[in-house]
Amino acid sequence: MAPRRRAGARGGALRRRALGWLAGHDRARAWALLAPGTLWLVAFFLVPVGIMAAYSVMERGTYGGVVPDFTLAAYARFFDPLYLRILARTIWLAVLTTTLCLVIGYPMAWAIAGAGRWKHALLLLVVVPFWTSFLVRTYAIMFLLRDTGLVNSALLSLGVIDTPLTLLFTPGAVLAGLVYGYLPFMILPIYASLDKLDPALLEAAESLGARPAARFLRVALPLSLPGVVAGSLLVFVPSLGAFLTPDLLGGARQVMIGNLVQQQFGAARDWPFGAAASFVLMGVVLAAVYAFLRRGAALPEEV
Amino acid sequence: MRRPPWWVVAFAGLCFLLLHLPVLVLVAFSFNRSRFSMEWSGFTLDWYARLLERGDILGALQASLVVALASTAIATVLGTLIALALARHAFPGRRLYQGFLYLPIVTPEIVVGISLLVLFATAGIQLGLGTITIAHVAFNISFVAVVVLARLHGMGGDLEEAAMDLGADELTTFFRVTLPQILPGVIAGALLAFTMSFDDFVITFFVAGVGSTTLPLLVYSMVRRGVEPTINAISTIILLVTTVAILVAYRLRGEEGS
Amino acid sequence: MTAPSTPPPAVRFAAVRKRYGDTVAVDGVSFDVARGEFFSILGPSGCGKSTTLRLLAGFERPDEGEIHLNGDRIDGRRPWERPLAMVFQSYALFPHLSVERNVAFGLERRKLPRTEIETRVRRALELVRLDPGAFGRRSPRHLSGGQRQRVALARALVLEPPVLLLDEPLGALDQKLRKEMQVELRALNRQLGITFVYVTHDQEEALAMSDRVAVMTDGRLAQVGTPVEVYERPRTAFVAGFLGEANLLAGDDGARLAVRPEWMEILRPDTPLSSGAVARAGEVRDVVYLGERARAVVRLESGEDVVVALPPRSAAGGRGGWRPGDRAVVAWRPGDARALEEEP
Repeated sequence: MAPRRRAGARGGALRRRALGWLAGHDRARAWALLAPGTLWLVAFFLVPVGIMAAYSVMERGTYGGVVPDFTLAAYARFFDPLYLRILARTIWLAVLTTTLCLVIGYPMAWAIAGAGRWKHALLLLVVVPFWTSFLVRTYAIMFLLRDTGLVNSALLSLGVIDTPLTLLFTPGAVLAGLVYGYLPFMILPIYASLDKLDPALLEAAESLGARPAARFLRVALPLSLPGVVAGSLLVFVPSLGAFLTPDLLGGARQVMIGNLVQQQFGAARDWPFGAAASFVLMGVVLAAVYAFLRRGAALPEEV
Repeated sequence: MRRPPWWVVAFAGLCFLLLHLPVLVLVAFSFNRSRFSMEWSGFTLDWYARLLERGDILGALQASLVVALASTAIATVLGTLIALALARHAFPGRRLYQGFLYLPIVTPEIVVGISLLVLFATAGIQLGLGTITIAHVAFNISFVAVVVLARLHGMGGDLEEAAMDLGADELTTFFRVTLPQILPGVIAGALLAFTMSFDDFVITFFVAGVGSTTLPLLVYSMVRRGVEPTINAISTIILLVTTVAILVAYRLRGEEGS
Repeated sequence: MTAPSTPPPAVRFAAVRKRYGDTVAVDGVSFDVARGEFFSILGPSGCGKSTTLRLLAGFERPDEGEIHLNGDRIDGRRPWERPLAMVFQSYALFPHLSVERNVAFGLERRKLPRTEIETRVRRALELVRLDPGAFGRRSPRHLSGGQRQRVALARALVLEPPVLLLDEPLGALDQKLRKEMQVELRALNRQLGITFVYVTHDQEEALAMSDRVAVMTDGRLAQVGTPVEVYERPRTAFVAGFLGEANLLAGDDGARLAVRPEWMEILRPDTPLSSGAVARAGEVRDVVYLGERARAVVRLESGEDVVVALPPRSAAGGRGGWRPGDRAVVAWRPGDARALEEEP
């Protein structure tokens, strides 16, 4: 820092004191810059989450709300097979979504990275839907999959089917919505890792006798794994917390944890259980983040 | 990276098509005369005209814009300050703070929304556009801070030090040197915050009160009632607005990169 | 066809052309490389030398012409079908694999038994003077530039290829390490009997290591010959100028002549000349002292500037030394002036 350097021109004890003061001053300035935003985040993120934590270990009130008596009953309730099934469905759907996004997204990322001068245009084609309204995109899927939607109309007019298929409000519809919603999150990190792959490495593999399959499996794929891990994290985590997709595309029968939380705070008026379900969800999310980050951090070092 | 084998390109091309098909179909059918069938029965702007007749839609649009503008302004200032502190000052716990900054990003929206609802209910705060704005600022601060931080890391502090060595005080240095340099990052962060706010459904759903319906909330309630062409028309407008914002942000980010 | 009495060359390029869009990178190049030869392709960047090597490796396909390896036509084959190995400029070591696994990569592709792979990997590392015990399990990211270079070499040599391609392999090393590696590469070439095709832009490196040098410019071979031939008898002005220093002068018959500074003598105006020498009068413009050698720049009465070698001491100042402004006569033996061919 410049002020420090200027102070450094003087000598001895004075200099040490000045440096100490300026270091303290620097810290004070840092806190002054951080303070407004941090206060906001504390007041409207940490405190509410803290209240939820507190509610999750309280008794439920009769008409919603809570009674401030400590109990773990809400968490115990989660072990009911009914709720465990919802948890399992949530994780299973998130796993399936991540897998499908990987299967679809990897070739897309590969094609973009190898598209030469079309690269940036194609990238934009992925980025734009990535930021456009999730609600609108979910509605677009509804519009396609409903009984009189384009998919059924097309199949009917082609004579493949006689009566419309029930596509909406099925696990498949939820899966389609999640994959459609989060696919760009998978493509972008894989693209980034493939794009910075040194072409000489692929040529080296070829000159050492690697056919295309070996060249891909032994060189390109392992070197793009950090992108795969990052992409999987970015798809898996929001899939776990999905609320809108199962709500619109899954209907009453394809409930995920997000919907369970909402029901408890809404119609069911069981705040402690809703709060506990939130924390189960948060626990799964944070565990997933931790696992993926560890894997991602460990990968490049792997020999 | 060279071109992958043809079958990878073909598969990717098909996926590209499928990625854009739903939205393209949706947009196309906002101009379809027929109300119910998937048959194309002629071009019309009726559905857009009908939007204008509906006061609730204009009201929702206005609410969305107010919330998006207000929350973007606040979040951009607060997020930029945090980014400056993280990039330019050493303080104990900086790494921990950066981890904390990512927490609102990874926390499921449903949890953020319900927690805020509980907070407002507990504190007896009236739900409305104010609470929606507060909530949007809370999730946007982190996004703005991360985007601006990336920009600040990219430019280093040499120019600022040079300015201060030349005798400029800190405020002058900030407005004359730092801000112009990070401005593309700040604007990109602001546009990102604007689209996030304008598009947000889940968190808004929980912290909105009676009479504070934003556009996504209105679209949601219409969708729940049943598919109809006016939804396609609103969706098309939303897509248009956000796409333009994204293209501008992308443009700025691109300049920043070069 | 009757069997030839001599074995076919290790590498043969026959009228090979390669173009990218409007630019012709390699323009009808033909040459043979004998078995066991150390053959360098030398030229400035963009001259087509790397493309030539890439055509040989199979990363590029020629538009015209043929490429043969030990008598087999290979220009239609994919890189992995060619019995070649290559050392890359950036080394191109696989960052996700250990040193051992890098070296084993080619052998694993050939599905050799585990034990044989291990033995050969160890031998290859020892060959390039890396201790397999100390380096085998290390990641290439934790090696110095010189060590990476050796791993890249081991990874190629372990395949015992008939021909080894090297693309500016010493470019990233510091001066001292370069000299060491030059000696080692030359020794490996002799010891293993492998044909080396070596691409470089460094003329000193090419002269020091090669059996023969191909000087390339604008996609064509300007001259192919032993280091002595290309230096002593440059065929074109480009070759004369790219390899060492050369004065280009107009001859009496209008032909262009090249005379190297060290083939010239600088004399005081009244000094008697040896018989038959060509002499031109002029004025010293500049004297440059370079340690083991020295140069004087003399402006001749014809207006041409020539660079002449000096004994270093006579440029170091002091009595009897040359100074700018001195009148001088520059002389050379007519046989030392090389008539140059017109360049295409």
